[in-house]
Amino acid sequence: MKKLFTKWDFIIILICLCLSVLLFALRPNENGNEAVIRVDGKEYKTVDINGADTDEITVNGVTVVYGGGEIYIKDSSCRDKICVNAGHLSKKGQSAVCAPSRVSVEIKNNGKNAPRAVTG
Amino acid sequence: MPWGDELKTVKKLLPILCVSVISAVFIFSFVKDMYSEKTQYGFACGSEVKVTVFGTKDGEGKAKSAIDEINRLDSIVLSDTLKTSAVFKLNENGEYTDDSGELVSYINECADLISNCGEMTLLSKPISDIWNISGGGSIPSDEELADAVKKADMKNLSVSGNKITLLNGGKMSFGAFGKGTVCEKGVNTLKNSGAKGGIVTVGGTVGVFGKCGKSDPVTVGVRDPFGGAGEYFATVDVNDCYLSTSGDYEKYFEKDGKRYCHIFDATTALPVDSDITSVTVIANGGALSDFLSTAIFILGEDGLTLAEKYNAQCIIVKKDKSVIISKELEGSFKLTDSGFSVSAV
Repeated sequence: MKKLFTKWDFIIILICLCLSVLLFALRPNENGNEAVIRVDGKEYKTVDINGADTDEITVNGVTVVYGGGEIYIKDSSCRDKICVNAGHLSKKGQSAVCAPSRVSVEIKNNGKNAPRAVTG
Repeated sequence: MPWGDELKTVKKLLPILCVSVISAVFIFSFVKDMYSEKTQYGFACGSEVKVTVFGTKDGEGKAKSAIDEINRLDSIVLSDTLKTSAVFKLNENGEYTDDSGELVSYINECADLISNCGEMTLLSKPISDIWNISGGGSIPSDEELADAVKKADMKNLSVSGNKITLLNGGKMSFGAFGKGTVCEKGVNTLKNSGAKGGIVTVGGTVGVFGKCGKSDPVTVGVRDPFGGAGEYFATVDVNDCYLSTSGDYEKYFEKDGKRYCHIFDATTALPVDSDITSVTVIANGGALSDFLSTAIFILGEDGLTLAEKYNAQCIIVKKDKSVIISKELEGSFKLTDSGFSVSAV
């Protein structure tokens, strides 16, 4: 009688297992450590805001500071400064927008129960 | 050995089976991705625009077309700051011939709504100009206020056929209606493109329609007037509607400890100052929800009859963190911050 499982069957099973582990490891990140900086509606840079040191990016006259668990618009060449007044952002889904300079920053929120939009 | 032959057959078929299962998974995920939701961003009306499309091929292209259409309407028709727009030209020259009839139709729609609320006007620019909130703010004199009230009177707007005329220094601004009007345009553009569902956000005005995949019904956060940008104190689950919020927490200036917000009573040219800090309205039109949130912010709870008239629901947040919601919202409205107290009317 032949064996129910040969060496090759085990190899196939092993490959399948490795593949699923790999796919699981590569699933999209769901926590709020990342913020996206958009310019003109297009993604300009995605940054990790949990770094111990703070970093600065200046684009279209808007200076964005991130690190230590938060991100904020430090300065902008715009007139109304609504973006600077938005303050320091640290929670998922929070955003600051500088419409005159067409720059926005948003802390990613991919959570299942996250609202799809905020009115206000 | 009754199972020998079967085992052999299974073993022969195993590779074929594996290959077909794997390709099926690939094809499924490819098609699923093709039809999955797609989001695009842009800018209009001094705000960020976000368009998400569900259940259609080329969602990205359709979202882009909606943003293009929103931009066109803002920059060619409604904006009072962009030199390319019809409203800007009307304000410069005091008159404008609207060949396409597009501006006239929006003026008529808004004037109709405003006829319910004498404290609002489409000619609000003389008032916002003297307060100059976006430039840091300044408190006008009594003479300036009286002058602005006269200029902002709706009687100074005359529409005859395609000809629009401004009299006595009146200047037009779609300020209170702009976001809702372009939001509705964006939603209609998506609907006409064959999208099954969509979410269009212009600043704080949100339009939701159709089947939004796993997000259906769509959960929308209600901005916490006491919190930072993007923070919400409650959520509401909705389908096929528009949500607008008017509040005193974003555009304002402070002098001697007093807050002067960007929403004015057209009969006094003074910023609204009441025990209300924000009003959110859920209605079946974008210009309508924008109108109602501003009107109720000005009128206070007396404005609730207006909401009823238009079959709309509202969420009124007072400065003492008490919240009044329409009773139709019981069930879909959920508080996420226990610092607020809710009652339904």
